[in-house]
Amino acid sequence: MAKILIIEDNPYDARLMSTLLRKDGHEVLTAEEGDAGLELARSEHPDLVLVDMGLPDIDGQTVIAQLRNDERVGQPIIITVTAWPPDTARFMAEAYGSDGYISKPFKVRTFQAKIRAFLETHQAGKE
Amino acid sequence: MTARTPTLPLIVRPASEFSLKFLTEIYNRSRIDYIVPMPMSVRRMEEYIRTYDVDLSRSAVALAGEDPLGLAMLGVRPRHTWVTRMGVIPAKRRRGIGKVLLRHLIRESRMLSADYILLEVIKGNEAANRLFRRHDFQEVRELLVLRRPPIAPRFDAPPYTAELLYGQGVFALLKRRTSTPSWIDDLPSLRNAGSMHALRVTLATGSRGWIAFQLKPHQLSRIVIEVEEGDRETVARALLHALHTRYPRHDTKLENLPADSPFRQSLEAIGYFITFRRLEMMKKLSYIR
Repeated sequence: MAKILIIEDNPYDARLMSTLLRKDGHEVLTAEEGDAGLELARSEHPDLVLVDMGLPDIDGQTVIAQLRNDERVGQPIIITVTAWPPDTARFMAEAYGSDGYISKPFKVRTFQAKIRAFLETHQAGKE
Repeated sequence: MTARTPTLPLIVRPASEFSLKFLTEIYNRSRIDYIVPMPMSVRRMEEYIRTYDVDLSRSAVALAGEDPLGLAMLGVRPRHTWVTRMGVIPAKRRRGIGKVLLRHLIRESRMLSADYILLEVIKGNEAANRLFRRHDFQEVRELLVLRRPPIAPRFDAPPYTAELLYGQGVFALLKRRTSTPSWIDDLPSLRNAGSMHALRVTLATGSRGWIAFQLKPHQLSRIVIEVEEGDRETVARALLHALHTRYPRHDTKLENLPADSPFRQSLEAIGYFITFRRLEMMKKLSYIR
């Protein structure tokens, strides 16, 4: 099972994602703001980070850029969580070096499967 | 029979009567359904108010009893004002609350004897655009919000020398700016924002220019480009090269570049891309004297 960091300011979305991921047996950490999320990523070295694009202190793009640039974080899988239209979300995810995106509002039925797929693809890439 | 909830009368109070926490909550709630909600923390809201000279005593909160409905803020500078952070909580829309808030800010602007009012609206927000047009705001120009991630490819530039400036040296350059700034990148905003730096670049040919920017731990922003002599594209490329080779790990945000800016091509060629567009609108105020 993986260690997953959720950086999300919307308490409803954060709680829902946490619950679903814990159900799947993952260890979940949460941060409501970008700076706090970056600190957690540096100290906890998560395997996967879910980053909301609209954060109240620094925006999601800058958080992703920092996660990618900071050697203390390691090389987590980074997933953008956004309400942007799919084309914009895909473009922004690629431009900032995240590994994929999940559209908001996300579907409870498919969320866990998507995370599993991201983790499996990443694991396969390592082997 | 269903019981009807009595509707409390709409009241408008100066934003200065409320805590920043309360104002931030209303702002965030009013944007929750936006495609790009841009939520703010209390600290960021405080910074915003200070940077953009928002006068809370002339800004407004709409309420029904103690129930907040919406918010609108007014930036105040000599001879003009700026409407910003205007929003109505989704469940309370379509009741004319936006109109009441906007009229309040127009009235405050008149009391200040402002010559004109400025605002920016996201292109495509038709409801807001209609409201502003109905109140005689006219479109001035289209502004672009661009980003450049640090992983954008490296690029070349002709040989040059660069000098880093900060403090008063930066503002001496900014006073010589030839482009028309928007409210957020006008001189008072840049002074208030702090951490402004500049790079002055001279090419081997004698062509020269400068680029001013705000330097924060993770981000470069508030970018102003000025070519003083020589070919515009060549000098702009050298300026951007100097900036991004000095700060290769910084994410870059360039807000309110006019859509017809002569530097747009140079920026896009080195990895800047448009994230969204705004329309700058203006209402001229006239007085019977």
